Amino acid sequence: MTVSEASTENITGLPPRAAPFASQRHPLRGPIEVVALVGLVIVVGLQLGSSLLFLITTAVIFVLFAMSVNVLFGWTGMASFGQAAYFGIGAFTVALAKDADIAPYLLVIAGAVVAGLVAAAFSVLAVRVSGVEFAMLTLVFGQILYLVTFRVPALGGENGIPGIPRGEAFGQSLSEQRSFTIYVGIIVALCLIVLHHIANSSFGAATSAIRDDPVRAAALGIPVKTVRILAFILAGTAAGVAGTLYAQQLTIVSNLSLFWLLSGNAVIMCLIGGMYRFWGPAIGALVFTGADWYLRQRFAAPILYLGTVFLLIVLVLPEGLAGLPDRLAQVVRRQRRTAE
Amino acid sequence: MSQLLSTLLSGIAQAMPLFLVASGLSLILGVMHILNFAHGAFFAFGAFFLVTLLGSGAPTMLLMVGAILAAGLFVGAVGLVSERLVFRRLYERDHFISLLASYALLLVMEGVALQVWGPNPRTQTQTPALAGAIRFGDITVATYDLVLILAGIAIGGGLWFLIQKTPFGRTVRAVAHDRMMASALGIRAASVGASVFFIGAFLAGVAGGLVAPLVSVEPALGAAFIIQSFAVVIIGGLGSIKGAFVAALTIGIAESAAVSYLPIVTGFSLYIAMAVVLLIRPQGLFGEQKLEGMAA
Repeated sequence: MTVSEASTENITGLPPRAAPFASQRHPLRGPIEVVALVGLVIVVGLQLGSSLLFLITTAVIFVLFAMSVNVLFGWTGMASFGQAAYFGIGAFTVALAKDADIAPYLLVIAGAVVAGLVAAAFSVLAVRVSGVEFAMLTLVFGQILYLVTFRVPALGGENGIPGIPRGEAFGQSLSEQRSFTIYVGIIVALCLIVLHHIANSSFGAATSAIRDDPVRAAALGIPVKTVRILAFILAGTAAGVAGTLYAQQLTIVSNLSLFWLLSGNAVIMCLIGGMYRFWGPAIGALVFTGADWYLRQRFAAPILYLGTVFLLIVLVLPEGLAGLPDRLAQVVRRQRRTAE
Repeated sequence: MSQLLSTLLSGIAQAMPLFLVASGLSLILGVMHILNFAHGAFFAFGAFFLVTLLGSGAPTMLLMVGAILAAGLFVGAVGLVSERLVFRRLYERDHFISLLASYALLLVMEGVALQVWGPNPRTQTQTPALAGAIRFGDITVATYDLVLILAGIAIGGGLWFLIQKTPFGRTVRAVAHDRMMASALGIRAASVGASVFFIGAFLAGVAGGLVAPLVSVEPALGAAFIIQSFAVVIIGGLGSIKGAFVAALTIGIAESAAVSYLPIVTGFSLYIAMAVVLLIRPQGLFGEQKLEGMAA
């Protein structure tokens, strides 16, 4: 394939195959993949010191956030730059309930429900537009929530809400980082199994049909608007779960968890990893969190290096790191052909 | 009555920089179909460039005007370079990709600003000649507000003339209407694209220079301004410069009125206006068709 062919392929952002996320080979493959990935990360993490364990837990939380954002970007082709809104709603739900004596996993469910409801309400407005307008609208909506935190004293403004207890789950105190990491691992793994299941359902197929060609999808009888709304609610709910875990991890919530740069970070994670592979955003989230942590320690302006890497990936490798094996195989094949 | 007029004037003055940024954004969007996140960074670069150029101390009026124009030209050049290095490579690809590229560019430029100018906010001393206020009867207006209004109207008028009345503007409108057909008729779409980027970035740079004496200049300035500009573009209609003008004016006046009469909605009038417009006219006030949208 020549370079120009490769770029025309990307005109519609089409992945190289028609099936959404090819993993129907074996019904158990998905859950096993999830448990293996999250388990591996956590087992490695548990061997490390508690500050690294903290970092790895953050990375796992961002895996879920990036995967939720990719429901819109990679699955359905909806470019939302405002998913931090739902992440933040989840986080603030936990923060506002800090004095109530509720089990932490129930708070996770509560945060997910609240985030999902807000996403549902907003989606009715948001799906009236598409493309760049959708991107702008989602961003602006997220920013409104961010501004609200300055106006409503209960939300703490710039100082945020400190003193969130991690609580106990099944008789285990979560204030110890190891048990908290396992708690996060279990919840994220459950969410990813659900997402994987949905990705391979008829709903998942409908989202990719809409991403590839909304007009054709509508002609085939797919209710485009409904699927878009459902995808938006799904993404918001999953982002809400990630937000609740983030609040419990930090034990403080600030309005930075609503800020639009966080939405942007999630988009970068999706892109670095690869939007058109199911696992791409997870890889991206791990790489991003690690790189961000490293750059922050080394440089005064980490955003410069992060941005440059992001820009290069957009220009050179739009299919992301997950597409790298295929890309390399292609190059090798071409080399061989020219050698013959 | 006099308070009403003062509110009105200060609202119009606030609207002008917003209009300049949003019109550049809208121009690039209308012609190139690129939602340029980096536009906020263009704006911030303009402000930084002015502050660096003038240094500390109060500049003379001539120096100030020259520096604002220089800021526009400098940022225009940055726009040209970014078009050549980034966006030109992406014209054949999905708009989705150029959206992401422009976001990446915003991060890179914010990083550059952080590296070059540091994280500490800077302030620009106002020219003494423009620092005071003018009285008309019992109405008091800040002199610089009048400067902003005049500059905004002059630049907006110039842009309208350029797009509507010159041969160059005709080619721009042709490319906006149908890029492929325009190319087939012999218009060099790539060079039109470069010019549009230059003009859009120039407007953002001038706006940054104009605003520099009024705000604290810091790397996060661009990100803050871009969101308001997005709202202006949504309200006005994508690609419509006329829409950007009307929307910026509406928002400026509403915001200024909110400060005086209804402080609780300060900072939100923009978003309220946007929600209302989206509910009633999702395509924006002047966003009916692409060709009509370009009519300035």
